[in-house]
Amino acid sequence: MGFDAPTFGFNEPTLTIVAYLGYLFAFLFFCAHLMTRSGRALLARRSQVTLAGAGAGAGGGSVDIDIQGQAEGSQRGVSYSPLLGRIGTGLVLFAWLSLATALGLRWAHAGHPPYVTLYEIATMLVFGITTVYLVLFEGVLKTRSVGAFVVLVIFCLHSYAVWFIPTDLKRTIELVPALRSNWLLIHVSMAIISYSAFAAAAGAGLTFLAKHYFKGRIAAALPSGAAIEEFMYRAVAVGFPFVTLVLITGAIWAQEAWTKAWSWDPKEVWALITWLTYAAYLHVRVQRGVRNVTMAWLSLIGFAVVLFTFMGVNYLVEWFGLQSMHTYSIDSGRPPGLSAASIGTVIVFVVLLLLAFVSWLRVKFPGKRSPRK
Amino acid sequence: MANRVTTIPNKRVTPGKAPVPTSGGGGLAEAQGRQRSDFVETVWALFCSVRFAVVLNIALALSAMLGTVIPQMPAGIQNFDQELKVFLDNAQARYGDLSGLLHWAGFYDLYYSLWFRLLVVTVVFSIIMCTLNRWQPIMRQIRTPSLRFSDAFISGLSEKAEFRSVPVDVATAERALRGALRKGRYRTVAEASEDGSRVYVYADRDRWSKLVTFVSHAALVMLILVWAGLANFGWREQSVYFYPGQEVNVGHDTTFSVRNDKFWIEYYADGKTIKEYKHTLAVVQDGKDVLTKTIVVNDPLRYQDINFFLVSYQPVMYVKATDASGKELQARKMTASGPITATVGTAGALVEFDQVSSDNLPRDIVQFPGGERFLTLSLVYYQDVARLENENPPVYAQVFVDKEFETPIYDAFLPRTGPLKLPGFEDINFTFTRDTATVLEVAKDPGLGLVGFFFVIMAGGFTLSLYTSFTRCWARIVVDETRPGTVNLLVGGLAEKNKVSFERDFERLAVRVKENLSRAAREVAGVRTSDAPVAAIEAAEL
Repeated sequence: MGFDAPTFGFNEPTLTIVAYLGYLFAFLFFCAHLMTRSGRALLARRSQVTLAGAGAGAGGGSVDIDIQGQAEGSQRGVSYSPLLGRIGTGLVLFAWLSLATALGLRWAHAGHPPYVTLYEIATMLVFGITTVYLVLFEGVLKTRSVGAFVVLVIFCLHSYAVWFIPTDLKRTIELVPALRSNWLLIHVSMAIISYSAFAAAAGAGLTFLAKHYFKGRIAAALPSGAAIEEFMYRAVAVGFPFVTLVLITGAIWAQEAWTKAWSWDPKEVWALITWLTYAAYLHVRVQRGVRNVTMAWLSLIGFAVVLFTFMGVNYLVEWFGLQSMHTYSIDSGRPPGLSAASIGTVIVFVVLLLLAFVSWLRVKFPGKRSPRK
Repeated sequence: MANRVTTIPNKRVTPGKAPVPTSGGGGLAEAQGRQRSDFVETVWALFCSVRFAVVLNIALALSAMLGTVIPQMPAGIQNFDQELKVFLDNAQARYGDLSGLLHWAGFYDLYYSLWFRLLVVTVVFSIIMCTLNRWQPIMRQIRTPSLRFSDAFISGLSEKAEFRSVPVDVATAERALRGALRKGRYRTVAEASEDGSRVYVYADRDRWSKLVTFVSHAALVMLILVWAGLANFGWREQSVYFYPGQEVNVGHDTTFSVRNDKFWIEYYADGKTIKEYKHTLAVVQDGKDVLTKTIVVNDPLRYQDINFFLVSYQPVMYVKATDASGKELQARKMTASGPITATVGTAGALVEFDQVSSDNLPRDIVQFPGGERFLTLSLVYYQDVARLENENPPVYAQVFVDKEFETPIYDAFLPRTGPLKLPGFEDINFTFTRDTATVLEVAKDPGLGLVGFFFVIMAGGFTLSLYTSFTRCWARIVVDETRPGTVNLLVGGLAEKNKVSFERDFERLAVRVKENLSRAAREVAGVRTSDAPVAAIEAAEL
């Protein structure tokens, strides 16, 4: 059904591609923003050294050329060209509006929320992560420094939706009787919000790892590790109550439509695993007081679990011959996408687990390696 | 120079560790007793440890994950030997020799296996222990806070501010400080030294947030326990057939029956995609219809706490055979256990298609004994063959005479319209009427509201836990020995969560303290308009 039907001179695919390009350019601008920022930061440090060496300034040896120091958390004395960052944010906002229009058109055309097929869910997730980024990071926490990394996550996910899902699976489909319920809007909205927040946390996690493992220009450009870690935690704190609501609303809906609130359906189990993973994240952080690189890896593992929950289950059904009541988007019994994508998902998952293990080993046995310069 | 709000990099404040119990010497029996108590204590400590709880949590997640990789037995398959064998044969083909071991260890019914249940029980136990273990320290923390502190303690706090040589007396400084704290929603307690030269002030905010964790964890435990317990009280009939017009009592001491009045399918505009399955049911009590409802997938019938869910439907038809005189021939239905006389329905013998053909299609066999000879009709339903509503159903018929099962006298689909006439039996008219039987799942799930209640409490508790923070401040006001008539004030703060926002919050608090102190100092000096005392404070700070 009319995925590419023109509406008001625009059609949904055009707007989607416009949004996709918006994300690409936003990513490039955010990278450039970080680069200029790091350049100035190094410059600032050098000038401090010079002044201190010359014994200049009885009023103190620090030269404050901070432009947005307050906004960027606790890394004072770091500066950058704000224009590139603003353009980046503008592009994200533009992509967000474009995608919102595309999704709005799709909703109006289909007569139901775009919450059914894998393409719709992936696109909604892209929209959701953008919203969380704009509201939480740009709005509440007033930081742009994680932008490049969050937009990278968004861009990868949008690439999956745009390139990997075949065009015939991008069409809108009519709701099957089981989905004709108000719970569709409520339950899936909760899932989109929570998974988006977890994705944003993963973006912040990537930022932290960049700061941790790549010393030098990039690390100098980023806010302090503690600040990034706090951003990550705040995103998880948004996602966790919502993933709890996903389980609650899912159980209520299942009780009505599937006769049982809980039936150990693979999707249910994976939503529970997501919940358990982030419950572990929060307990490790809040109760055990663990911080820094472990938490960054945990946020990435959590996001890998999220990705598996929302698209991996379809592949499980294919690989292991399982039954799932959640595979509404599959017409022909085969999940959409290419086998490369499915293999990629698994590889990423395994690599993340291995890296997490290695990083844990390094934290656990610090004496076995030479100190980092 | 601003007020001296010094920010020191985050450093964890390690609260004093509980004294390690030391064991004295003793005899052999005592040593054994000690060993046993050591073991009990080790297990106790293990279950009280958050680390162990997290490990269990991960173990639970991994086990649950296994169940999504290994195909699980459909519910209730254990009661059907044939189906169970098919399932196990498939598993054998997939896993080879390992299959037996997997079956023995319950991996094909993982979520109901003994070890998975034990794991859940252990997790629940660990949650209970961990939570109880935190009760005492938390209550001590919020009930009897320690007011006095050492310099080492305050220097370990992430947020602190110091005001030196403030030209007020200790009591005035205390009032100014407590005023600022109260404005920041803090509850304050103070303790003065006997000579009045030193005052300790303790302030805290959102004490109740420490207790939220007990509520949410208790709700989680109750949720699991109630859910597990309720499984023993409800009941579930998974496939109850309702033939058209039939009235069914589902048993379980229910005093009413439910009748299948109508079933139909609504399609979208394309005429092919199913929009809704609609099923009208009537509740009959004491011979009277007390409720009629059209149910759909998302809206089951609920009567006296019993839910009727539409789970499936299947085509049925009536076949009626009349001879030349218009007399109806008595039909017999063939089942695995032999012939039975079909009694349901007035439109003829009910053909339920409850057997399976060699092509795995719904099939039924009906016999019409007439005089010396009898006719056997083998009827197979072809769902994919399109026939209009008012035509005969898409049924392939083979008709045999007596026991000549090798040579059917009719071997074709039923005619599209009109009665079926058989060669040699032209005076008999076979007419067919199509209808639909529905399959309902009937269940009584008591107490789900209670589960939902605990679920909501838990979710609310987690949210509150994440967005509220127990915040404490400690302050010390001492007379400045070096400058008579002035005091030094040291205040430090600690938030358990959301430290970044507490950083800003504490800065605001420090500014408020400074303003209050300045005002108090101005009043002491009798100066109302001048900023002199403020300048004095700042000079003192330098």
